[in-house]
Amino acid sequence: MWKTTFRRIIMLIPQLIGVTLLIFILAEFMPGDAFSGRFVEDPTIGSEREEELRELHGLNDPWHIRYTRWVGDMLSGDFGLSLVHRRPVLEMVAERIGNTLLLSIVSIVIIYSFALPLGIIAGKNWDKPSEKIISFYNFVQMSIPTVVFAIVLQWFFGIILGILPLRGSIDVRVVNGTFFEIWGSRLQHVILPALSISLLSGVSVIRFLSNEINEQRHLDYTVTARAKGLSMDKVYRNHIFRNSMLPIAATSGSLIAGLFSGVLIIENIFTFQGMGQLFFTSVSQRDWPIVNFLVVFYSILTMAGFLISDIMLTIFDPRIRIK
Amino acid sequence: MKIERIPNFWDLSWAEIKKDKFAFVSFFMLIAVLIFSFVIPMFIDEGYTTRIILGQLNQSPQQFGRLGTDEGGRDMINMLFLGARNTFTIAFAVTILSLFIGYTIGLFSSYYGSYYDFIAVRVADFFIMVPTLMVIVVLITLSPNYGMWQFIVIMTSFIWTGGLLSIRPRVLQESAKDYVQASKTLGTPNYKIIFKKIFPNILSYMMVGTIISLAGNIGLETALTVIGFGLPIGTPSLGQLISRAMNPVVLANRLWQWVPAAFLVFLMTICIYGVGQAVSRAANPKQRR
Repeated sequence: MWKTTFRRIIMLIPQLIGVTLLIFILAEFMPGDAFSGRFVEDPTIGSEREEELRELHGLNDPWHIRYTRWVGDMLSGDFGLSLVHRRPVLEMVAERIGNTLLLSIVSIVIIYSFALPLGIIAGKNWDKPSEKIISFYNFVQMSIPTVVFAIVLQWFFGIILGILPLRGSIDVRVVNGTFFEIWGSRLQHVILPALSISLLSGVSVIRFLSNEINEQRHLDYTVTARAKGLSMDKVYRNHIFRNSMLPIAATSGSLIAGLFSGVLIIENIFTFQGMGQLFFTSVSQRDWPIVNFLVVFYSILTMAGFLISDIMLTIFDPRIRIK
Repeated sequence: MKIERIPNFWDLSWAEIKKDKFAFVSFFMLIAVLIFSFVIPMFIDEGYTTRIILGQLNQSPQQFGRLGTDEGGRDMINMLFLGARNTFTIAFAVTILSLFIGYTIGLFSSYYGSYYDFIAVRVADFFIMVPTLMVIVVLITLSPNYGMWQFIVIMTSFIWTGGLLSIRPRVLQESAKDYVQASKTLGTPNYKIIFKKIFPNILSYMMVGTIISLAGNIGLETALTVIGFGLPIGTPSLGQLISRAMNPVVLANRLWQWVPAAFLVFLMTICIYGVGQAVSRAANPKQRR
């Protein structure tokens, strides 16, 4: 197992190089660098001095030297300064990462806590009314685009019922409050964005699981288990669920990876102070160091998601080994 | 003896659509909405509609008639038709372009196998790992004189790999079958095998993929425009009409400014999926109940 894991990690290296190269090429087209506009307030520093500084810091070097230096800086933990805020990129991201993590974790918990039971019920009662209802719900849910769903949720819970906050990630009035006040407000703010992400992502889980259970019910091993006198409940518990969970485990990585891009859009709609919101504000302010860092960061997260689902597959299903 | 024609994929799809009431209604609704949103804008003066008219800001349907006006005094119903036309144009263009590229590369690379296949899969894998949405947004901000066609090209260049990966297993399966081997032995040129033999056999899967990705692309345009990185300002689109709801005042009090567009997007997606389900039953006999 360690061998396959190690091999998978080695296989990720060319992909990482590809992603960083892509971002580097994009960065070439981004206007401005660390010195442009920095000395506007000081008239004694002319454009000659600016050019001199560029030469001194190696901004005029050929591209491969600058690329390796950029990657080397990132590997040693230096991600540069934000062009707009003049603060380390890492510090600005660190402020936001907690909120995004909270949103992602709550979403994942909601996805699996409603999608797994629904999928199992639908799979067990194939062609019965309960399955028809769940399929219908699934179909409608699948047809609602993310933004429309988020906005309808905002309108219903935030305005018609008026019980949940429309936007933001914490109430400004409780920032200096007690522990319970802060966390109460944070959870209140996280519910709507988490709901809009998780209800939509849950659709594929319900579908997959119910189809899988329905298929497994008619396989030979189920018939054998029944023939030797096992009750249907036990067959479900000991055989069918175990096998049907495999594809769920396998797709969990890509589900979580897909979740990240969903989080990007949802955070922006709810102005939830997470990394996605930081990304979009940075893009509109042309704050490229933050943008570059976040793109690299998200690619690594996506790769990690796929890696984890591969590893999980090898744990659950010993037949699969990557050669 | 009279030889009956074997029903092809189109006959089967039509039979499935007719059998499923929901798909049947969806099919005609879809065609109606498409005709309306491409024909009616021809009779709308686009320059006049998108202009700000100060005398009639934010009038409700009761005050103004029809669907009311927006914060610039523009007639909402005309904006809705123009927006629908632009959104659907983009969705169709992106779907057809990206799937044409993805399917063509997928057909050839998977048929020839060995290192063609290897390279194609590596490239597709790479695009999966890239945070597509982020790179699309960066490209949109960087591209000079940005407009509808730039938007289509940028979206296409990042989602074409979906088509490739979706048909690859089918093409591999089909290429390994005996009849393909027999054709090869008889000396049939490869391009003929691909277009005359493999392509018709996987056409049904391609159609299902096309329908599903059309719905996805309508959603993607809406999402990108709502967060402010879609079409340039001044080009009405459904996403832009929905994005008005980001303003809490509009969300709460001026329902007529965002509900019609949101509903139209929902209606289109649900109809597309309704037809898609029937077509996928025609393509895959296992799904028929």
